[in-house]
Amino acid sequence: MSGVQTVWGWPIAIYLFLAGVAAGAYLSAAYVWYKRGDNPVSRMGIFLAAPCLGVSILFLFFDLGAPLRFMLAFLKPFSSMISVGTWVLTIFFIIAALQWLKCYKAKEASLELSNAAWIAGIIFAVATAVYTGVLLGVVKAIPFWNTPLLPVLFFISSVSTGIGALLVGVLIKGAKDSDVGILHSLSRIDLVFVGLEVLVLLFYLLVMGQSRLAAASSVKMLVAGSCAPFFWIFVVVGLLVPFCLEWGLNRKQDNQLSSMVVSGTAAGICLLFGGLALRYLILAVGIFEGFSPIL
Amino acid sequence: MPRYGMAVDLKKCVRCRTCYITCKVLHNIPSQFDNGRKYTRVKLIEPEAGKYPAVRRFFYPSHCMHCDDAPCVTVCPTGASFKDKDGIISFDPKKCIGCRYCILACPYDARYFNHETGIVDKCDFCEDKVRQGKEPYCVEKCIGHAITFGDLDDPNSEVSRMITEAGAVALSPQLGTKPKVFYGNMR
Amino acid sequence: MGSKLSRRSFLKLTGVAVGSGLAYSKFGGLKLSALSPAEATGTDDEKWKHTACALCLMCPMQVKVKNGKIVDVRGEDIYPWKGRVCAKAYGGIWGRVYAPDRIIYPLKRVGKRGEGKFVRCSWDEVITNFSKKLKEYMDEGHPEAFEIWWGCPVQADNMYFLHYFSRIMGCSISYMHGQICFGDHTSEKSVTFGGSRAGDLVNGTADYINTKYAVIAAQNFPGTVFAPGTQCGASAFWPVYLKAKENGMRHLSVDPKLTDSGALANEWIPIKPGTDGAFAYGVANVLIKEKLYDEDFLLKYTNAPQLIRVDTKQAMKDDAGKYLAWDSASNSAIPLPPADQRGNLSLGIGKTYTVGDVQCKTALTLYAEESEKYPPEKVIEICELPFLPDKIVEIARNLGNNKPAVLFYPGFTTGRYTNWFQVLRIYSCVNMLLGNIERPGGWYFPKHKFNTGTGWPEPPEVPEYPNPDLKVVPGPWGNLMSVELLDKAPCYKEPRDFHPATVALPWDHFTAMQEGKVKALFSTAENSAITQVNTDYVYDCLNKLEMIVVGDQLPKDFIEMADYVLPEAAYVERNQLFTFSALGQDGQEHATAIMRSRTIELPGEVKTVTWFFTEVSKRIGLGAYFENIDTDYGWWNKMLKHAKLPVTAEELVENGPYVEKYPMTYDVMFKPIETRSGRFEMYSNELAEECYFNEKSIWYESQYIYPVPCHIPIAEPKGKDEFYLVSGKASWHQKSATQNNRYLMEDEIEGGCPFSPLYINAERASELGLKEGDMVEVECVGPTKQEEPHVFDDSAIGYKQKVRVHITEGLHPSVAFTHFAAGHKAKSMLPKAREGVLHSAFVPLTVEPYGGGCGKNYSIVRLRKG
Repeated sequence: MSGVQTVWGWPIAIYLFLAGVAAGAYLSAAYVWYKRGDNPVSRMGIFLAAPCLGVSILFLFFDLGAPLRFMLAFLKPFSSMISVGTWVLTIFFIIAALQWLKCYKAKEASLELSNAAWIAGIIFAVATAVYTGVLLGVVKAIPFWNTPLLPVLFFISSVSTGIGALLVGVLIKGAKDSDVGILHSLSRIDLVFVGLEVLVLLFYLLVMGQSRLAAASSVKMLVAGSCAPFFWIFVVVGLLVPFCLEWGLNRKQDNQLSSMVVSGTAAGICLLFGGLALRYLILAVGIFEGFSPIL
Repeated sequence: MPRYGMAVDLKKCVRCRTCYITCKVLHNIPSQFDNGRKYTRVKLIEPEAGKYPAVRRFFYPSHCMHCDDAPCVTVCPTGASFKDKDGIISFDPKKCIGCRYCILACPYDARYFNHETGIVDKCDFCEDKVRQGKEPYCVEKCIGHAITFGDLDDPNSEVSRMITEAGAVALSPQLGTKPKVFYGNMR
Repeated sequence: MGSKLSRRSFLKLTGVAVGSGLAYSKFGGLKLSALSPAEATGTDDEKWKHTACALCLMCPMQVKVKNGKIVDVRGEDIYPWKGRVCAKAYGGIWGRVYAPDRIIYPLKRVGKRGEGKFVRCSWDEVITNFSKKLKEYMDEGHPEAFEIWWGCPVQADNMYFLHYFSRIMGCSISYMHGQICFGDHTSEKSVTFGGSRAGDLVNGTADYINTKYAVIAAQNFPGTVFAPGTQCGASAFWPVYLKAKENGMRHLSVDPKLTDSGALANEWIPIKPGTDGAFAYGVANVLIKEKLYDEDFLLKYTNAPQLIRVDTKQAMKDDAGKYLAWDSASNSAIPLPPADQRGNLSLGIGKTYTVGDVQCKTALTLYAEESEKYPPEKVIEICELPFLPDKIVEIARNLGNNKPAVLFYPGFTTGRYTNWFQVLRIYSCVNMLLGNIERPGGWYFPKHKFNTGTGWPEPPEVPEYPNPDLKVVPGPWGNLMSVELLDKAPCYKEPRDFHPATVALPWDHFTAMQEGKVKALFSTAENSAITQVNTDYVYDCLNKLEMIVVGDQLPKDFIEMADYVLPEAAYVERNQLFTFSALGQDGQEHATAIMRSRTIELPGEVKTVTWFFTEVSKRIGLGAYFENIDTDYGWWNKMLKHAKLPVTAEELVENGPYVEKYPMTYDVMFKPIETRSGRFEMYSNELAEECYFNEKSIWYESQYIYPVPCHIPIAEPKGKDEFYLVSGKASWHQKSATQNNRYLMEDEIEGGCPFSPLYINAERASELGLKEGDMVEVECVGPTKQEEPHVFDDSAIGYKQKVRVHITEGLHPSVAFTHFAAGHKAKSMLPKAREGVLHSAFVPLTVEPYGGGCGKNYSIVRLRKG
């Protein structure tokens, strides 16, 4: 068939997005923990990861035609990318949830998290973020997805949306002056990741635009076709705006909480929007490589 | 163990669409007018080529190609899609969780998602009939006797001869899935 | 209450809830329930039963019945089916017999006609009120104020019975559909070749497996045909066609559209509608110029050598009134000898003979002179063929060089413009030139047909028939018949207005309805409310009636016009005998008798039409004529006996078809030629004497029936946005029985097109700025009474409907095409059937002289975007 896939839609986009946010938020938390030990920013990451992942899994669950048979997906762990993902997400969820529980119980007390748990968590968070890309990347029938660039892109985006979620979470919950420093360094890291995302996306679209017919059609549909308005909104709001905001934050070096609250929150919201839009758009322009009707 | 395959001799295909209808009614696949959805295991591909008046209209039925390297099997998380010993890409509806990954993976658009049952469906070469020694419905009912079904490993089977003698070929072999449905005399 | 009839409410009325079982399973495709409910439950009571399809014609088939439900279908294992039947056979069972919207209770209209509001009522109420009306008309001395319209011999429940009822009651009966289908064709073939050969020639019965070259116009050949020698559909012809192709037959499709089946042809000749006469004359022109005609055949079997006066163009006769021909031995005129005798006759092309002091030319010379007006380059221009003139030469040479194993066929269900009678005549003459009748690979007449008669009960079985002056007259072919009343009177007056082989004269019925002479109507096995052209006019007529009763299995337009709706037994729920003599892919004649049989019980309160009329007969004092009639077996046994067949109807039902096999034998003279000259007529003496030179004829001096056929241009689309609106059938769509069918109407069947489209040529579309799927408004603009002398009623002009366009390279630029199963008015039909354009509504009612065709495709429309 030559045609746009309508098999996976919004629920899967949200699933991929939230799994990415969870992974990104967890990795950011781990970074902050590594840098500063137990602190509110790190806790926010732990606080966000497990619920995001849980909701993500719910979206996947309710998108299934026969959700009650979900357990069957565990039986053959290496048979399919979905089964791999099921295990990866489950293990990651267990780790993140245990840490979340500890974090929740600790309240004002100091939090002890074992290095082993962190290392396992980091491994499965990376795996989760990469997996969201690989899930689509292995679909040969849709050439636009069938590239190792997609896991790279989704991983970068995951980290970026995770940082975005942290910024929004911390700033909305109410940041203290002591948090500003680490938030700054997170936004600096994100600046790099957003920049990378732009470059990888550009490279991805250039490569695909010159490749086989169906992938080229996907690119065309994305940048100039029916999805173009949404795509360019995504580019501006989801990439350029947060990039500029974070750039601004880093240039001023003023370390003032007030400007961090405004710019950081705005950037975070834009990043989250961008992450969701990116996944939806990539799903929406999945075009099957048609089999030749004429021999 | 045979390795089942199918060949369609398009020289004998009269475009009557019997394969489509029989497959639908005899497998109890709902009509488009029952639920507004176009469920089918067989698709009729009818592209026009050329400019007026030098125009030709091709026609062929298309369904699961029962690929030897079936991507639908690779992506299925539960083993609901699996390759049987006789080469049939079989499907166990009791194991399907409705993730639809197989629909995305299939380059031949051979599967559909049944929204009422929540699971996927596709051509299984009428395996229940085949294992009773009968032919699939589309073969049995074909007006032009255009469709042959049999053992690809037996060089003397009708289906093998369609490939070796009549030059039947797989659609888009470059997709690399090694289909076991072949088409001859495309016109 | 009072809401318009939606599909859902109609379903409630019909008493069947959607998905209430039958063959349906909402778990479609799930292997757990892949068995139909019948298979999944109950005991192992399973049997293949013999019956026949009815979705287009009557292919013999078997149905597998398990626990009272049909679970599978297959063809009878006889030639040419050999066990296979087409998509329609399956669509019929699951999309009609077991359709969730099947009508299974009598319904009574409660809203306005066409509004579609019905409530369930009792059979007794229908029979009482219907009989009261009939009795009223009988008591007034006008039983003919009631008419029966039946549409199809295979879908109708015992057409012989219906005619018997009509004969006994004295009501009118009409095969209304026939005249928009093949009526003019049958007349033409009768005029040209004589009545006994007409049916087979109309059907296109030929020795296809030996044919080398076939030029076939229109009709979606081979997907929409009568299989040779049968009254069966394409299921029986495809095997023959494939064999012919295997044997090397080349097939040219002459059609404005590259049809679904026409795409199987070796070549497509896109022709402008209505110009077929010029095309055929172009071929004749080359055949004659290059002497590629069969001189022997022309001299022996045709009146090509008949002498025609140069001054008056009338036949030259001797003192005894005999037609003359030129004898080259004695160099004098002699009486045209009977067919089969060549003598020393001369074709005398180009010559003038003097008989007494009168100058004469042969019929062939007149035909040749007419053909000179159509040299190839002119034909290319008139027919707007996208080829060089050499194409016509090539076609003619292929025909001439391969004769007699060639066919030149205008199609069965072809264009039907007002010039069509002459088009058919020109085609017939080309076949005479080719000498391809009763020759291997040419036209063939099955020699072994069963003569079954009509099965009517006769005195003393029943009392003497009432109304002794009522005459029953033969129908066009087979065992069809008519009662010579309102329907056929103009065909039997002196001189005739129409040839008796016309099937019906619909316009007369409409006039009678307008004048209040026809007051009540029963319709079965057709959807005449919309299949007759000029729909607005037809609806206007129908609205004047006091009572309309319509029977069917599924909703349709006519049902929504009815006062009472009868839940009619479907074709696999009743018994009926069919006989035919099929030409198989094995090259043999298969004289066959089959029974359609009741394979399943009647659902709900479904009854047969014969039961209904038997009940009615009791209430109108005619019970004595109908009691003790066994329409299940007795009626058919009588017909089998009449044909001297050694089987009974019971045996046919139990054991399947009865077949006698004969080798094919070629003999032009196997039957006398029933024309005025006793030969196949190139110059029609009947047209000359009955019409053209007859001052009393309504067709006096009309070129539309000129004895030497001529091409007459029809009205044309003028503006950049005007088109001929042409409708056609598809191999999965044959008639009203295939419409509203939930399987046959699926998008996937028609190349996945998700709407009921109007097809337009790509270049024309781009000129009009139309893209795939764009909505256009279609408006009928012609033919008007000014453009076309034979417009009877032009209510259709100005009719508008909106439709989405489907752009194709496979269509003549002058044409906008729609499949006929679109644009329906009935709200209870499938949504897709209501989309698109209702073709008949765009066709002004024209009446073709003498042949009586109703210009089924004669419509000019204007397209506007939006």
